[in-house]
This record gives sequence, structure tokens and C-alpha cells, in this order.
Amino acid sequence: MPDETSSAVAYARRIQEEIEVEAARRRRDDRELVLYEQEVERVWGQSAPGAAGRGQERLLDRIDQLTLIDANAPTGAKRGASQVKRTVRKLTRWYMAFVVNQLNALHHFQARLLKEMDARLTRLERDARMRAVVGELAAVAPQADPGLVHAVTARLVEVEGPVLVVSCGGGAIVDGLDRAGVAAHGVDDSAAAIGSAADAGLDLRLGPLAEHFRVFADRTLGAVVLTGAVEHHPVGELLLLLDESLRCVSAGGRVVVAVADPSSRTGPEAELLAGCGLAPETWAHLLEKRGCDTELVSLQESRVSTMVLARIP
Amino acid sequence: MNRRPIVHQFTAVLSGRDAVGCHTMALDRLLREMGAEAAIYAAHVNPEFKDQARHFHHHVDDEAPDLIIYQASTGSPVVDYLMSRPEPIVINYHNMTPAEYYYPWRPHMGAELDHGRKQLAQLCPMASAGIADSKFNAAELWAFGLSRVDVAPVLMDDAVLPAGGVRSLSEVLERAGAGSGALGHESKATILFVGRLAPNKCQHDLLSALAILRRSVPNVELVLVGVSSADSYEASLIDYAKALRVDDAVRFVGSLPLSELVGWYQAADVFVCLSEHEGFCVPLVEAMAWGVPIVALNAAAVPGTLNGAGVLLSDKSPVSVAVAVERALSDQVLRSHLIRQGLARASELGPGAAQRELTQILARLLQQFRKG
Repeated sequence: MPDETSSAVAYARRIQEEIEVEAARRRRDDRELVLYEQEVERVWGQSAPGAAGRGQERLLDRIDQLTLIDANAPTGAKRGASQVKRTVRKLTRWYMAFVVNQLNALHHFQARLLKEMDARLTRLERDARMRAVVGELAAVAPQADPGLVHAVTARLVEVEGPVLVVSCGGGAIVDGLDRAGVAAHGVDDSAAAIGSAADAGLDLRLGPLAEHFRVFADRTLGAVVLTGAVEHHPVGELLLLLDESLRCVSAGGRVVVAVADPSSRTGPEAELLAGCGLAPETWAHLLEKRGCDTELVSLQESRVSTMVLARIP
Repeated sequence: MNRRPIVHQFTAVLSGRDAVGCHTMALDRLLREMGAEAAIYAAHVNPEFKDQARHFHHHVDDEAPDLIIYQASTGSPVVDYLMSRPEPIVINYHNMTPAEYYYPWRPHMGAELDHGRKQLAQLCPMASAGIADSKFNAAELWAFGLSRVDVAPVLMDDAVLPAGGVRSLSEVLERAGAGSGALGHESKATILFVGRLAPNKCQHDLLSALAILRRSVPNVELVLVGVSSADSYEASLIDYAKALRVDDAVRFVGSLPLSELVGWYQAADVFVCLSEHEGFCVPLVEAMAWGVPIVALNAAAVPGTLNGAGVLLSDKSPVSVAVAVERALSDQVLRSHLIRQGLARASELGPGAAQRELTQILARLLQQFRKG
């Protein structure tokens, strides 16, 4: 027990910390406990309406049941009152039936629409999950690409201002720039892609790619490198990343697009990433339309056969 | 000769069993003791209490009061009426559960709560003063533009509390035993939570924690006291307990007569509250008064009500809660500390203290707003 002089608040805080440490230890030492905890939370997700899975279906079924309004209001069992209620019901039935039929039709179509939207959402979620798997598989590719690192570093060594590497993965390009004396940091939306690279002293940050640009004022970066799993993003997201890059890079700065050409994909990658990424020529076109001077740079010893280098006017 | 001040209280529902109902009726008694002519008006009056309150439609025919006190806890047509009144209004705020908790389970309740907050936003700028039962609630009134807000505890039903307001420390420690903690007892360790079965009170998280806790403490039971405020939530809790195979260790006892509720406080080894939203949480004070150690989520008004007299959790993942409960059951040093702190805190928040603070606040308000 704390002595008279010790603070109850400090004691409570110590207990809290000990509980957190003990909970972390149990999770670390008992893999089965972690799995069971996940299972416990998953089961609640299934039980609760509005949650994923069975709960959602149950909610939709319930909506379906509730869409049918009964015009025959109950009349109760009390003698006398029941008779009056039946009479009122009979007298108003022509009106109630007219209104209720319209409401039932409306509700029926709304319920059908909800179910169709649910089915579409389910399909979208399934597709999104597939993309996440692909992202994890492919995100490591740029790390083992010294040819690309060399090419990017060589073209940014003279740039003025900090460099942002978007979809930095394990930080190979950031590391190359660091070694060349260029202030650089990376951002990636996959913790798996960054892995333990941040522990090596590289400035690699985890978070949504487009949102990361919000911290920069206009024209404050020396260059932006779009690389790594950027090629896995759909066109709409790529345009957003491009416009944010152009906003943040100062005049005379560079935007480098160092991603593989979608047409070079083969096998499962070609099918799983269908519709994602843009060809170097398309990147160059988009950058030129936005007023940049662009150059297509052929790379010999890299998975990225053509790199796009744009100079900001 | 001095005329007696007239104070009218308004509330959405007067049911008498809930915290707001108990507070309203206790405040009515307090106002009468202070020499005021007091009356209660509500949009719905439980027939059991029809002698103590009238429907608010009758108010327009009664003598105009010096002061109106509105007990705010949900949306109500009462507010529309109050906004047409010329008398000074004091909002006694007990908080409104954020509507999003209810929309998936009981949508019309969610809509009612949303409506309540909109009404509060309209009423606050017109109100003369506010009384909040916690700093957490006071902050909401300030955010709605009511700058003059006093904080005073809820007037609780003292029938739920031990004689004298709190149990004696020696009596509680004697029962708790020395050295072994609650797990040293041969009988089951009892985890208690008292509160409506409601999504914001998160009884499902108690079930999750129980499932984990049973791996290390098999001889444990969870007692959930309180009526359902959303049937679908209650049904899901029952399904969930079955799916986790802890249904044999959970008792859903519903609403209880006060004597039985007292029995559960006496039997409990630990009170666990994982509510995400509480404006004050009267059961915490009741548990402290009965000398029951508390483990609670650090959320909303709970840390303010406990003020150090409980183990606060920053997250309510099942493993963290299970570890905390196990510690509160087995660590006799911690139990003694929590019991001691809890009894002291319950004295600060009990009916005696609340009555003293509210008497001061009301005396000041009556002096300021009394007509003539």
C-alpha cells in the first residue's frame, strides 16, 4: 500500500502502467491468447447489427420484414372497446388501404435497392482486399533495385530543398539520397513494406500517401519521387498524387516518376493489377499538360525500364 | 410579508427509478425544505409517481414561477414549451448519450437524442444559468454557449446507499479479508456492473473480457444489473454470451428492487465499468460507497467521478481488461487502496454533499431571480 506521503494518483498511474505491461507480456508470450482475443472481437462483429457479415444480412432481412405495413390495426380484446375499434377500422379502411399500399410499394423498392447496394459493396470490398494482398507482395520490389536508386539519386543530387519519396517501401531511394547528402524522407501506406527499415535511422513515415502532402505548404519541396507501389493505385489516385506533387515542389524542382510500365507486367501481376498504373508516356503527357518540361530516361539495369523526369517551371 | 419563491421543475420523463428521476424528486424535496413552492412537470409521468408531478400541458394554467429548472437528459416537447416562457430558466444537465450509439440498435431513440441536442443548443443561449453534475457535462453546456454553469453532484437515492452514506472502512476490509484478495475466497468471484443495457455502456466489452478472464480465473461470474434500453442490443448480448460459451457465468438480472440491488453491491468483488459515454455514472458512487473496488475505462465523465478511486484503463481490449480485473481481484494491497479511496470519494459525492452544494447554488439563484 502506498505510504502516507505517496500520491494516490501516482500509485494509480503505476498500477495502470503495470497492467499495460502485463497485458503486452501475455500477448507476446501467448500466441493462442492473441488469436482468441481476435476471435472474441470477431464474434461480436457478427452478433451486432450494422457490423460486417451475418449482422448486416440480419439487418437487411429485418428491414425487409418491416417494409410491410399492415392496414388492419389490432382491435384488442376488451368487449365494447373492441367493437368500437372494429367499426372505426371498417370506416377508415378505404383510406388506410390506399395510403398503406403506396407506402408498401415505396418501402419494397427501397429495401430492394438497399440489398442491391449491399451486394455491390460486397463485390467492391472483395476487390479491395485482393488489391491489398497484391500491394503486400509487390511493395518490396523497388528495395532490391540498385539501378533505380542510382538513377534517381544521380538526378536529384543537385536539387534545392528536401525530397519526398512517395511509396518509399524499405527506403532504398531515401537511403541513396541520404548518402548523397540530399535531405530526404519517405512515406508509405504499408507498414509491411516499411518493415524494420525505419529502425536503421532513415526518416520513413507510415500513412495515407495523398494525406501526407497536406503537411507541406505550396512550393516547399525540392523534389517528389513517385515510386514503389504507386503503380498499384488506380488512375484517380495517381492524378491526385501528381497534382499534390506539383503543388508542393518549388520552381526549378523535380518530379520523378520511377514506376514500372504496366505493359511490362507478366503472369499473375498482369491480371491482378489490371487497370492500375500508367505507362511512362502517359505520365509524361500528364506532366506536360500541367506545364512541366519532361524527359523520358531509359534505365538498363532496373525493373523500371523508363523513368519520367519533370522539371517544374 | 415575504412571498415564498415559486420554482417549477420540468423533465421529459418522471419514472423515479433512474438517476434523473431520483434527482428531480430529491431536488423537489430540497426546494420545499428551502421554503420554496415547488412543483414538477413532465411530458410523461409514470403512474406510480402521478401524485408528485403533472403533465406539462397543465403548467400554462398555474401561477407563473420565479424560476424554472429544466432537467435535461433527452429530447422532449417540454423544451419547445419552455422556449415560449418568459421566466428565467436554469438547465440542470445530466448529459445526452450521443445518438450514433443508438442508431444501429434503436433508431428512433437515436433520433430522439439528436433532437435533444438540437433543442439544448437552442435553449442554452436563452437560459440564465446551468447546473451540471460533472465537469464533463459543464463543458458541454459551455460549448453550447451557456457561460454560467455550476457543478454539483446528482442527488442520489439514499435507499441504495449504506446507512450514513458510506460503509465503514473497517467493516469493508474485514469482509475483504487480509492477504488473499477476492480470489482467495472459496465462492465465485463476482464482477458487477449496474446500468441500462445500452450500446454506450458497452456490456459486450464486459462479455469479451469475461471470456478472456475465464482462461486464468475459471471461478468468476459477471452480474449485469439494469433494464434494456434497446431490445436488439440485449438480444445480441445474449447471443454473444452463448457464442463465447460464457453464458453459464453471466447473469442478466434486469431491473431490481432496491433491496436486491444493495445485495449485489454487498456481494460484488469488483465493479467493472467499460462505458464509453457517461455524464456522471451514479452506480460508480454506489459501488464506492459499498466499498467495492472499481476498474473502469478512462472515458467521458468517469475519471472525474472516480477522481483516482479506481483503476482506469486507457484501452478496453479484452486482454487488458482481464488483466486489470484479475489484478483487482487478487492484489490485496491494491484492493485496500481502492476501497479506502472509494469510500472517501463516495463521501464527497453522496447525498449529503450534493445537498449542501445544491442548497448553496439554489439559494444564490433564488436570490437573484426572485420576482419583486
